[in-house]
Amino acid sequence: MNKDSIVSVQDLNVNLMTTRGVVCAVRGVDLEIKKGEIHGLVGESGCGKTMTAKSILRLHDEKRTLYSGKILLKKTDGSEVSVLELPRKELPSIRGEEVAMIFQDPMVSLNPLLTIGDQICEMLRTHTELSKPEINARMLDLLNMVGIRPAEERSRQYPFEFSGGMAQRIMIAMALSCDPQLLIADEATTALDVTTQAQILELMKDLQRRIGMSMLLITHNFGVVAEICDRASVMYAGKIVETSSVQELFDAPQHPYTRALINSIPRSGRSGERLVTIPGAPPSLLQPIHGCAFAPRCQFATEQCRQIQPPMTGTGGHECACHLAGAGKEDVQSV
Amino acid sequence: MKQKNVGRFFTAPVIITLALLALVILASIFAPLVAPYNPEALDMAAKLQMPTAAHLLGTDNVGRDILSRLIFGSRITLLSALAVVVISVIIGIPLGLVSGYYGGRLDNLIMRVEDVVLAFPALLLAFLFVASFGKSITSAIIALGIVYVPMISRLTRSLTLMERGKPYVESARSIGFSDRRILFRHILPNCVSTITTQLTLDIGSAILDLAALSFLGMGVQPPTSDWGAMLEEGHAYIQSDPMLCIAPGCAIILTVVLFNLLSDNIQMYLDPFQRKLPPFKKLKKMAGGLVE
Repeated sequence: MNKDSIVSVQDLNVNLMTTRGVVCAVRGVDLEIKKGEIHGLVGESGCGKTMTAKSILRLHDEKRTLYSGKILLKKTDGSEVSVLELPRKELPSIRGEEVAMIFQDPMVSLNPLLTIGDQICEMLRTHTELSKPEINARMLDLLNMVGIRPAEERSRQYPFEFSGGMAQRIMIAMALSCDPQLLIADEATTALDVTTQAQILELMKDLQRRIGMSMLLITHNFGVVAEICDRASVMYAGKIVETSSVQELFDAPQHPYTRALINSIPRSGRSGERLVTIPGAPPSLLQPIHGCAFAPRCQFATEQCRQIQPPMTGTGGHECACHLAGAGKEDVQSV
Repeated sequence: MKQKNVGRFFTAPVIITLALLALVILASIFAPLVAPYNPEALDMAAKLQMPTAAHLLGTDNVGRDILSRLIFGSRITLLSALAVVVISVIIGIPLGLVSGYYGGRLDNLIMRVEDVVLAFPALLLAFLFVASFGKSITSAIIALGIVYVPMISRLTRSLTLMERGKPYVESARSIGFSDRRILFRHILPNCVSTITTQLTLDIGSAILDLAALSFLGMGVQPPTSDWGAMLEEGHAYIQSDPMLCIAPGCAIILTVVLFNLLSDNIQMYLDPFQRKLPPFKKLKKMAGGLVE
């Protein structure tokens, strides 16, 4: 594990047992999240983004999930733990305290029967040893911090009395209540409308900077990545195909899949033109995949691509898993 | 300004329900004061009378006053039916929660044992129990309580399965709540409304099942009065003197409906979205100048 990393995922495999067979949802993911960075995880639906993120908290149903690989987490006190080997009893000491997560649909992620103040206080009671008035004061602070005002009054309301954006603010307040080192935002803004989305992103970035925590931002929206991430990884069919700083990812994407994704972002001022799509569909993860998973959809694929799985190569923080790294660059630059 | 929680529990239907329920309960507590006759006094001269001014609900086949028997009978009936339900709740809900939440082998074990209990006719199992622990109302209550466990725990289990998959449970897990806390503070309250509805219905069946046991000589011993026992005794006269069945039957229905209404209203109050708001006029006043 690097010195400045908080979480290091090494060769993570997540296999889900289903009635149709074993789904290899995550196939050898390596991911380093550095202290204080916002790391984006991009890819289309079903490519294993959420699976990877949930593994960091071990949220999967363990009776139906097989993990292999390693997830190392540096705790606040400096010690290192291997999340996948932790006894179940110790999981609550990580969840919420070291790593917190917010989900896609904030309206149903809150218990409908408790007031939001109660829910935040409950979190504080579980993880801290503060006294009752201290907990209450902290809860109001948190609500103020995420812009729920007047905090006192609104803390006595129930989840259904809030809009989606407000509910997501509450989720954020809850997630941040125990000062986690890493916040995982799983499509946290996808269910919100564009203006609210911008506000929430702004809020998350602002809080991240103030508290100095790291963030793993899962999204399928490149716009979000461009807006707030420092670094980003692109996933395809359970594997990370490219990792680099956001600047480089947009300026000089290496993997044909990344380029195709960036190409398919709708742009304004080109009315009348057809939207660019990537032909084909992602492969089924029920069968083993030989060679590069993207090869069947890749216009540059060669025999080598179909046979041999490309390793991650590259330097200077820009890595890519492609035999032809760099090929077809002109495509992107010409648009 | 301090905002109070504006939902209210005491709406008109709730007040009426509570009043009637209080009437039933007070009558059973103060039975000796309220009942016009001794419930066990025979009066063969006045047997099988239709309702008269002297006997408001008539008399039974040995001339006992039906109203007095109903009032005295409510004591044992209500207490034992409630006890049956309480026993089944105490055992059934935790079993259902655990087996629904953890699944796997534990779930299988619990469910198979309950299948065995369900496979026997409820009364047969109760006989078994009474036979081994002696003829008394207590063993009848415990037996029925156990027989009712599978129903409650299966219901709880299926509700738990439903709630377990909801995002709020996952988010509760992601912030490090213990399983016990998630089960009892997050999942259970979200199941409670459905469970209470089942419970109020169970009170009704408990009254009838206890009556069946009493009829077979294994529950309440005669001449003690009990609604279920009265119903059983009366059914021989249903064609000639229907009052013998109608009176205890109505008492059972009324009680069950009252409990049911109460639970519905509790359920509505517990769910913040369904909670009754104050009258519109008052809301308007609270909103100040905002509402025209």
